[in-house]
Amino acid sequence: MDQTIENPAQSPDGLLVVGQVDSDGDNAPHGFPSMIPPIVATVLFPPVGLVSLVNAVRYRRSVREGKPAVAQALRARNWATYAFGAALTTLIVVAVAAFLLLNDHAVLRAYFDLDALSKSIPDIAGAFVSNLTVSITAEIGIVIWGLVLAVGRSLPGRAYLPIRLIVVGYIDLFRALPGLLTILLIGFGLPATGIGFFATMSLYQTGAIALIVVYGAYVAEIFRGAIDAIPSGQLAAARSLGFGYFGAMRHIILPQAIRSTLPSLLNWYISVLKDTSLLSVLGLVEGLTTARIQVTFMSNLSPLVGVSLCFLVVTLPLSRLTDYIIMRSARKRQGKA
Amino acid sequence: MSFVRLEHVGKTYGPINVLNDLNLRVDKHEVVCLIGPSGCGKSTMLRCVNGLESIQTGAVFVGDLEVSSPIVDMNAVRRRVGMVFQHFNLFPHMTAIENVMVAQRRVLGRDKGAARDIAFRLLSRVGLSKKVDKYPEALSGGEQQRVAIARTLAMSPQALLLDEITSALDPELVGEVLEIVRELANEGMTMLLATHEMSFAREVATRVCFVADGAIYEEGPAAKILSDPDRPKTQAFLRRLVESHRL
Repeated sequence: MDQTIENPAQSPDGLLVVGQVDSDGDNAPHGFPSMIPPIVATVLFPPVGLVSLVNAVRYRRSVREGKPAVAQALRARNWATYAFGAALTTLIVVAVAAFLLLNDHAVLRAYFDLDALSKSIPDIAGAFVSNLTVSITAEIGIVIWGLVLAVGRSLPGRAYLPIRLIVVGYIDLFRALPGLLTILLIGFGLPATGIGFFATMSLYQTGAIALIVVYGAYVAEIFRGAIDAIPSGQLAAARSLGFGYFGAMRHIILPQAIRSTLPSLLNWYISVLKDTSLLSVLGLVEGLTTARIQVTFMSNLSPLVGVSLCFLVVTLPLSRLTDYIIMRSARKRQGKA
Repeated sequence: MSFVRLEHVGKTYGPINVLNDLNLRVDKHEVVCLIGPSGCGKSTMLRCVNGLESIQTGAVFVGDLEVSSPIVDMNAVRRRVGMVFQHFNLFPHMTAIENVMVAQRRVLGRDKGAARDIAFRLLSRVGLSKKVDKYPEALSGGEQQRVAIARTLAMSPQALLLDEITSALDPELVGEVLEIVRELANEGMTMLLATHEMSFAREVATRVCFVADGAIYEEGPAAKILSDPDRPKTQAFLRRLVESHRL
C-alpha cells in the first residue's frame, strides 16, 4: 500500500484513482494513469482497445496543458476493461466453433445433423409426452407425500415419538439409496408381489410411485426446513386465537412454509422430470429410450440432441418462472403490487 | 367470583423457578398492570393464563374453566381470553383484513361476508380502514400492533392479555397503540397487561402488581405502587426507573 501513499493518484493496480483532492484543493489527480492497460487492450482486441488508447492519449495531453479531463481518463479505463471482456468472449466462441468444425465438421455432423434431427424429433417428442405425464403425476404425489412426512416429523410431544422415528428412518433411507436402485426395487417389486392392486399397475403408475417414494424424502426435508423457519410466535398467535395444532398448521404455518418452498419445489420438479429418463430401465418407452433407438438406426447422435431440446423446452422456462415467482411475491408483500 | 384466577402457581424450566407460588385474581372490568424487571415472569404468567405454557403446580382458572386441568377444552379458554404479543405475530402471508378474518372463519365458522364486515369494522375502529388490503410488511410497527389488537377483538374475547405490546415499537408509535387500549379500558374490557409504560399504567390500571422472582411481590392501586410503595424491591425498581428517566 506504500505505493498509494506516495502517489495517491494511482491505485495499486496502476489504474487511475479519481476524486482525489490535492493540497491545492483542485480536483486534478497527480501524475498520469498507467498507459499499460490501454496498450494491452489495443493489442488484445483492437476495435475496442483503440478507443481506450485514444482517450488515454488525450488525457495525457490535457494534463500537460494543465486542464486534466478526468472524464477521458475514466473512459480510457472503462474501454480497456470492455476490450478484455470482448477478447475473452471471442476466445471462447472461437474455441467452441473450432471444436465443432474440427476434422472436416465431424463433430458438427455427429451432433447437429439437421436431416437426422428433423426425422427423429416427431417420434422423440411423442415419447417425451410420457416423461411429462409421469413427472407431473409424480410431482403432485411428491408434494402431498412430502407434506405428510414433514408434518409427521414436526409432530410435538412424546406421544408422537414413534411416528417421528419412523419418518426420520424413511427419509434417511431413501436419501441414502441411489434413485435408480429404488426405481428398480419398486418398479419390479410391486408387480411381483402378486397383490392384485399392484400387479395390474401400468409402468406409468409404478414409475410414478417409485419417483414419489424417492423424491418425497427430499421434498419432506425442504418442507421441514421451511416449517422450522417459521417463527414460533406464529404458532403461538394461531393457538391464542383458538386454532388447534392441525388447524394452525393447515391455515397459518403450512401456507407460509409452502410459499417459501415454491422455488425449491420447481427446482425439484426439474430434477424429477430429468429422472423420468431412469424409468427406461423398467421398460417405459420415454423420450430418451426412443432417442437411443434412433441413434442406433441412424449411426448419428443428433436424436440425443433432439431429446435434449425436449428437456430444455420445459426446464429453461421453469427456471425463469422460478425467478419471476420469487420477485413477484417479494414485491407483493412490500405492498407495491 | 374473579374472572381470571391464578392460585399457588409454580412453573420451572429445568432447575429455574420461573413462577413461584404465584397468586393473582382479576375481576371482570378490571385492568391489572404487571410491572417488574425483565425476566421476572410477567410474560410467562400471561402465557399460562391462556395455556400457551403449562404449569407444574397450582391452578389457573378463566371463569369456570380450569386452564391447568389436563382435560380442559383449551380452545374454549382461548376463545374467552385474547392475547396480543410484543412482536405482533401477524400472519405475513395475509393482508390486514385477512389476518382479522382467518380465525373468525376457521375457528368460529363465520361465513366470509360476516367475517369481512366484522374485520372491517374493527380495523376502522383502530384507525386502519384505508389499509385493510396491505400486507404486514407494508405497515409500520404501530399499525401492525393495531391490526393484531383488531385480530384478537374479532374473536369477541371476554378478557385480553397484553404482553408488552409497545416494547417493540419506536417511541413515536407507542401513543397510537396505547390510545386503543385506553378506549378498551374505558369500555370496561377486562385486561391483564405486562408493561414498561409506567405513566400509562398509572392512567388506566385499576390495580398494579409488582412482580419479582416469579411471584406478586407487592400490589395495590396504581397511585400507591408507582409513587409510594411499601416494600424495598419495589422501591429499588422505581428508583432505577427514575434514574433512567423512564418515570
